[in-house]
Amino acid sequence: MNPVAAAELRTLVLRAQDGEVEAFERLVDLTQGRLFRTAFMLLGDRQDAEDTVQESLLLAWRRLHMLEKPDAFGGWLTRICVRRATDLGRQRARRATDVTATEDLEKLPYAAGAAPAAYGTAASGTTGATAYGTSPEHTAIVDAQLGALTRVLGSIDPDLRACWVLREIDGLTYDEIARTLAITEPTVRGRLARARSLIIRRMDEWR
Amino acid sequence: MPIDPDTDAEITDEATEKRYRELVDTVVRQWNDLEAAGDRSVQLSAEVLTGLKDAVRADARHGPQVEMPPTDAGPWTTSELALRTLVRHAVDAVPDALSLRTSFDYADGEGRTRGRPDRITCRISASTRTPNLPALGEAVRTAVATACQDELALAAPAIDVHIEDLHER
Repeated sequence: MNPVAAAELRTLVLRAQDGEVEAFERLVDLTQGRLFRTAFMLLGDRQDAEDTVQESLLLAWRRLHMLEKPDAFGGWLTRICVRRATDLGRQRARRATDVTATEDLEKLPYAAGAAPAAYGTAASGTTGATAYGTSPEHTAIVDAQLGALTRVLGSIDPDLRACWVLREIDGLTYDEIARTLAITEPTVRGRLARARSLIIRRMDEWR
Repeated sequence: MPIDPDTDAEITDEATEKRYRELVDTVVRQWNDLEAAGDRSVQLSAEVLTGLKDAVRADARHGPQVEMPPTDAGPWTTSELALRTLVRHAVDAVPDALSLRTSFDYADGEGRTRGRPDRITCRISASTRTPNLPALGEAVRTAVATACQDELALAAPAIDVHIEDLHER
């Protein structure tokens, strides 16, 4: 989320709850980048991440009146997005297991050798898994690191991945992760430790 | 590598841990830098953002309807969204006042239409430079009552004003 004063954010949430579309649009502008990063890291696919963020924000608009504490907006929105992303990730993992033999692996999210997904697609005005590619303005080093990280993340269990992304990328506390994923704090610690361990083991290809 | 019995994870040495931390920090920093620079490749595409905002606007238009005082031409209703917008604009037009959220108590309506509002509760923020908060509250009450009367012919709903926040302006 872009840095914005807590008071301003609270005002925007209350006005959006009041039905002011412009206030909600400002909230969208402030939160979509952070949500997209989280969804992309969880799903490894630009189009899936965009769909997830779009659906999450629309759902947030529809349920905004149910949010009792405006100051809790950020965590509430993250929970909606992460749960949708993890649900989608699980569905996709089941489908991939069923059809991998006949799919083009290059087109599957997190496929080995897939290009860094976040880059290039929006800049070129296109979306979709097959539009992945590098964009001229980004360095090869950045692309390579993100691409490798994407592949490493794709190789670990979705539940471990979610804990890792929320902690290491989003900087949430153990307590916040536990609430977001509806699991206990010891479970968070265990999953995080295992995720770190797996990622460190594959770190060399990420350099 | 040795295993931590509590987490079933490998225990890493200091150098590996440091390298891992540097790589994570680098990826996060680069992503943040691109986002701060407005780079669309690390955000929703313009098409998706536009589609989302259009969907929100369409959704807002399909809110509940509220019964209004009948005119010579017959009964009529307005959307709750329009009512909220009217009140918000009335509050915002009062110097040093900023509307936060408004709630309505309605009389019983027919079918899915809400009855006429008989109480309007305005939660507002006041500018820190406001010399007289009670006077500001009264000005807000008058502005909302006037807007309801002038725009909707809606006379004399009770209007509660709660100043629950202060803002710099």
